Amino acid sequence: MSLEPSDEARPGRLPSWRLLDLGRCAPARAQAFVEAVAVSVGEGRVPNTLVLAQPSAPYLSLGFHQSFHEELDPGFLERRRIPVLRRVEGGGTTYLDPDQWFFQLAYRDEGGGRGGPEDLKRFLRGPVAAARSLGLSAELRAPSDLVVGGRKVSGNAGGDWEGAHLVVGGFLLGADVRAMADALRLPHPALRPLLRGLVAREVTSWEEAVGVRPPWERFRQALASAIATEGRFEARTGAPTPAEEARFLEETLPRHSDPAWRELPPAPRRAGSLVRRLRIAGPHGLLVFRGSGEHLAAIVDGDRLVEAYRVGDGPTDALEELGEDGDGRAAVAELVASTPSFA
Amino acid sequence: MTGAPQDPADAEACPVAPTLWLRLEADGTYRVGLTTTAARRAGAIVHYRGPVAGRAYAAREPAASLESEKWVEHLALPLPGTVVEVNPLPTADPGLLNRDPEGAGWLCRVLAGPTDGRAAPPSVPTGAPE
Repeated sequence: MSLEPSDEARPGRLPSWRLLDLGRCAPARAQAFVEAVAVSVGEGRVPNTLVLAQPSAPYLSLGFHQSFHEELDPGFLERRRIPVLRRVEGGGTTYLDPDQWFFQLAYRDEGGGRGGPEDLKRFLRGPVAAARSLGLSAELRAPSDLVVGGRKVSGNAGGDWEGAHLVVGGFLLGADVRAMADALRLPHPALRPLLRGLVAREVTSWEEAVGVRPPWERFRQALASAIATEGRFEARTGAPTPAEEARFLEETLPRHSDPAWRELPPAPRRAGSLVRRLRIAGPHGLLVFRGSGEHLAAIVDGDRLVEAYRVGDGPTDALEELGEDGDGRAAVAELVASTPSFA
Repeated sequence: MTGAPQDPADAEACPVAPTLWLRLEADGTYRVGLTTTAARRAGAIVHYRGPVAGRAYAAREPAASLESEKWVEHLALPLPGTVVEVNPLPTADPGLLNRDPEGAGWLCRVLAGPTDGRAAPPSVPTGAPE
């Protein structure tokens, strides 16, 4: 399928995009086939493209700038033995599984957008509209989360890759919040229940919010239609080209299998006592500071301290909540104030 | 390209990498940085990973990356060549790219050189932060 330039040039005619429904497929294909598509899109060999996919198995996805060793819990990796992929887009570590359904846009400036964070907001209007048409009252929480009742139901990110812009995201049809929390590395085991509670509070799912999940066929139709309407293009069902399939096998997959790609070195740690900064959803996150013989933890909402905790260095030391009036909480509040906010 | 230092604003129109400026230095290398326009458009930059000193980069090969509001921009050098120096400051303080992209936030110096003329496929694109 190809664009017909004469039609494109006709006044009032919407540009045509290709719709690729990869269906249920291996994690690497669900996550990264769009990177092979981006090359074709960037070269102008295929139209701008909307990809839909479901991963067939759980895996972990690191944001492009995140550190494999600092982000992921070694015990979780040992127990679960699931793939770890480094996406080319931004954002934080995500645990993904067959209960999460993906949408990915690859586009050029022409008929798409100029790229950058503004495109995220613009193209996420489609998934919001699709969710609402299916009974899920989602809304955008900037920069890129979709939320229901303030709880995250869709995480999204973007980037420029090989001459194309990419907006990628997915809906949580179900949410394994335990796995999401347990995949993340923490400096002390006593912090794990704290993180599990935070993830459970801030993350929801289609099933939890509505009581039932839509069938894939209905979901894909609603999503493709709404993304096309909001993006002002016409989606035409297509198939991957042989060049895209070849590039995926010969370049994309080997790169994602390369430990040097997966384990890119971390950014340098900023000076100070902050040892872990975990954004869970929007402004909500967990900060952990190194104290003298202890760790201090803060659950924050933007720059506001919600809860404060202390735990000693011993591996069996218990977590202690710091009350409103104590000096300990004031010290944690001071540390939070000196840390870049999630807001 | 002339022997005179280029104004970053002039270099902004470079068709290879419109987000970057370059300036010819006295030693024949090019200093490369992010344009003010690109820095503004990105918003608050929270991550930056620079190129590897001593490594040659082909045209269009990702050499550096920056992230703002969950958007990652992968930057190719505006001309193929070998990176002879990287500026460690924006790696340690990505916000510098917003505050002074055409001054203290320069990215690297490049010795322009011949390549095989082909765009390199993306590999492990960037190296260890300083």
